[in-house]
Amino acid sequence: MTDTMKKVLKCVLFIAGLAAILFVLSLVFFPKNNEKKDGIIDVAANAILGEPENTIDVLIIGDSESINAINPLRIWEQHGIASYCCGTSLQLLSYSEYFLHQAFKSQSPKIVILETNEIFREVTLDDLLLHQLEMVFPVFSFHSRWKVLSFRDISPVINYTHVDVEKGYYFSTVVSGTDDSDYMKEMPGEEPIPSINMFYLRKIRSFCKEKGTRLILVSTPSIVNWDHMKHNSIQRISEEEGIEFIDMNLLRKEIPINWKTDTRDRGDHVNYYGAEKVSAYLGKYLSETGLFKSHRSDPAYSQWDVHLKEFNERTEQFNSESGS
Amino acid sequence: MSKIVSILEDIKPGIDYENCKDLIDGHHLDSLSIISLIAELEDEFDITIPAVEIVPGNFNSVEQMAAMVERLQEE
Amino acid sequence: MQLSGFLGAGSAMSMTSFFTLTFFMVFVPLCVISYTLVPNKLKKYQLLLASYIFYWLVSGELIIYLLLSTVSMLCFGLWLDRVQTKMKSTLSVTPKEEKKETKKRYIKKQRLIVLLAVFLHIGILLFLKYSAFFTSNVNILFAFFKIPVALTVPKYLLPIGISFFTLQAMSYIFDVYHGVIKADRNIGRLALFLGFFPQIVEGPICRYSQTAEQLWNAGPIKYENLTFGIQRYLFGMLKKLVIADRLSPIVIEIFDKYNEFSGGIIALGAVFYTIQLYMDFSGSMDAVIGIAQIFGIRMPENFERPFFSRSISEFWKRWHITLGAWLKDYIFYPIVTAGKMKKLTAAARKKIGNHFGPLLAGSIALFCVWFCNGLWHGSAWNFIFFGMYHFVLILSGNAIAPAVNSINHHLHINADSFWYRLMQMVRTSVLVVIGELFFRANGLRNGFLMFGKMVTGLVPNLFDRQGLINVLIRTGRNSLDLIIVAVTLVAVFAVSILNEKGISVRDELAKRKILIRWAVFYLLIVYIVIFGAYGAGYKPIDPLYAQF
Repeated sequence: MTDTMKKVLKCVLFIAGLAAILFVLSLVFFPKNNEKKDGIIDVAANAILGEPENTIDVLIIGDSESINAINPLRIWEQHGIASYCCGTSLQLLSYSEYFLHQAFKSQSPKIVILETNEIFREVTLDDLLLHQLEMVFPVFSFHSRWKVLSFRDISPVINYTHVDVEKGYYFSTVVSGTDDSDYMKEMPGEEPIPSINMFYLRKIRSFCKEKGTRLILVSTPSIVNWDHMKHNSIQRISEEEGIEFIDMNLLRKEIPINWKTDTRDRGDHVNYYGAEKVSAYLGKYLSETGLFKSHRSDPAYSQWDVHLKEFNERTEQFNSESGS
Repeated sequence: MSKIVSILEDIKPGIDYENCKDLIDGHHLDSLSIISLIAELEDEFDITIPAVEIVPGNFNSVEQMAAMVERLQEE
Repeated sequence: MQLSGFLGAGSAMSMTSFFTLTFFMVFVPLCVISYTLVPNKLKKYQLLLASYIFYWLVSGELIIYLLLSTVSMLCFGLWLDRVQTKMKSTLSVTPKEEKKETKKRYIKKQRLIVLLAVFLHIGILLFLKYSAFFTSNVNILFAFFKIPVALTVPKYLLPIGISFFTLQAMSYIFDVYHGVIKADRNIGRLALFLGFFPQIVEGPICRYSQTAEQLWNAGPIKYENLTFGIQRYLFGMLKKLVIADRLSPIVIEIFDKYNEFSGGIIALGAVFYTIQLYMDFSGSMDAVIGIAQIFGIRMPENFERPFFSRSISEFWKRWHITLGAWLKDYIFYPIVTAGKMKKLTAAARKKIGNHFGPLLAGSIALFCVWFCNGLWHGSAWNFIFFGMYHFVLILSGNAIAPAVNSINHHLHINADSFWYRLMQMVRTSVLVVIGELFFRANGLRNGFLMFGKMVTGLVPNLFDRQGLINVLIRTGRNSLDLIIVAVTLVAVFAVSILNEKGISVRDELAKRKILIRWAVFYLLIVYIVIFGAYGAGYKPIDPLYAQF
């Protein structure tokens, strides 16, 4: 064997050894439970893993816009449809794709809602590369769990115990209003979408197609984050790629957001009162698709009524305390 | 050369100038000491030391300094 | 103003950090592969092309400044060469009595040429980097004198690395002027010398005689260079990802909200920042030098165990070495050996003796050096203060040196003993940390307030445990993070001590059996993967020196 060949062989063996080590590390670092103490960062979103298998009808992914505007318990209350918010703050499309894969391991929702704000959040090449690395070797996503590793992590048995009462919804009754504005006035032109983002959007769409799930793009109300140019962009994609698009910012009559009372941060996100209006509309829309039957009498969904009761008690308590 | 050693000892005592070979690289002489040294050398040997000569290769040891002085005297 | 994005202009700005995936998983491997495939004679052109592609990706159209600097080097170099050649030929036929006059004339002409070059290069740098600082200060002056005029403060895009390659280009011109090197007619060689991609972002500031030839003779990749280079790179990655990036949010929190913390915590913040800066910058240098080594290029070191320094003077010979060397060779010595200065020194030596005499010219030169050093780092008053702070420390250190020596002599203190040297190192480190407090502070005013708070609050509350817990909670960290920083620092420190004693860890490792070597490398990589401050919960941190 020539000298060069020996050196090449050494390199190949070294890399193979490294891959083996990373593989084993990934097995150890992958979280075996989704409680906060297991080093999980997005606890509410990851709590979907604790839901009983195949009970979720609608999956919602996106950034903080989604989890502030959509209240799954309300949709449950009014239509018996089980939805879940897997949105996280500043979510990237690559992370959304990850959530999809994770959620579909134990759930088979008929509809996936993608909140469109994150379509404009640039996924850089670094993000893409890290994401691909994480897909191959999960130790790259969970390496900070070194702080909470225990002997239990050596066993590959996974048991998710954490469930979120609000089903991923971010409950806030803070009122910080702003003046209503003509923020959706018609404008020509489109907000550009980075190419890596389109790549991930298409990936998400093929994944949904493959699973027989309907993908709907939804823009929840936000004065700060949305405008007509962004609407035009998504409208075009909706037509070109054949994906349904609901722009709630243009449904002023159906979703009558009062920007003086329904936002918690001057028009960036809606608060509980805004979410009530959004969820009422969305619940009606979902039930009118005819894809779902109400699960309200289904014993498999009994914990939903328990959580709903708990949530309503919390809001009642708040309302009586604040005297409204 | 012994003249150079005595100049050095006057400027910064406590260093074994006869045997030290890394006066600059070993951080024994700093820039301000060098100025004094240059002033003395120019005075003593009636030479002019331009800035380009102030390199470690000329000042790391007493031998190097002596060689530089000889060279500058010939110019 | 924004980069156009045309053909990817400025699309990979994150690559200014050498530890981003785009850089080391895409750009460098592609570079190495194409370099290997290209025939030996063309390898230098591949490096040049790769360097320009890199620059285009991080700075887009601003590459024009790099190109301008290269062309300027060529033109001024050749111009000086022509004058020098003419001078030689004229002098050979000049009668002896006129020789001195003639030479003076030609030297004067060369000086004017160099002055023009300096004017151009520094002019561009001042314009791009300092006009905002200048105009906002003029506005403050106007407001003070109640003049109702306000200039618009301009905001120009800075080409990446301009503070570095401007100095490097000027060093070439100065060296040609002084006859240290011969002017180069080969624009390709000059372009590669100036634009070589590992060094373009934040140095080291190289001299023509150090790297130009090496780069132009770039040959096939040697296995040992490849492996040693990668090891060096990994060591830098350890320093930056595990230590610097982990401390960064803590430092930001303390410096942004210092009013909410005690003096003890502010002191801790200054210490953390100094560690962060050192790990970040020296780690980046490890990356630069490691990658250059892959191509068989030897870059000068920029750090030499600076915290082993016994004085501030020595510190600046061990920290950001190439900058200190540049200022020394092109500002300090030229000033101090200028005609008028020498006369000043001679007169002063007669009046105040041989130690303090040269100090007069020396302090003027030193002041210029430190004013430039401070200002070079940034266009804000706290950087100038930083420069002046070190100026005062170095000058006073030198001024009291004879007194200190005398005291030591009388008290029979051995200045070479272990304890004395340790004391000097600790003292130097403390002074450095204080300087870094001002360097990092959000403006000079905040710097003073922080310093005041630190000094008054330090004694009553030296170990502010509650404050530390507070800071950790706020930044999403806990004590385990501090432990990791400490453990990794110890490892880095151990390597430093070995290096200080002249032992090269890489060489020692290379001698061991393959299983041991691989175990060490695997450990290093796994350590970075697990303890690196990247990914969810950590934000990417730009290398601190790259905004220059």
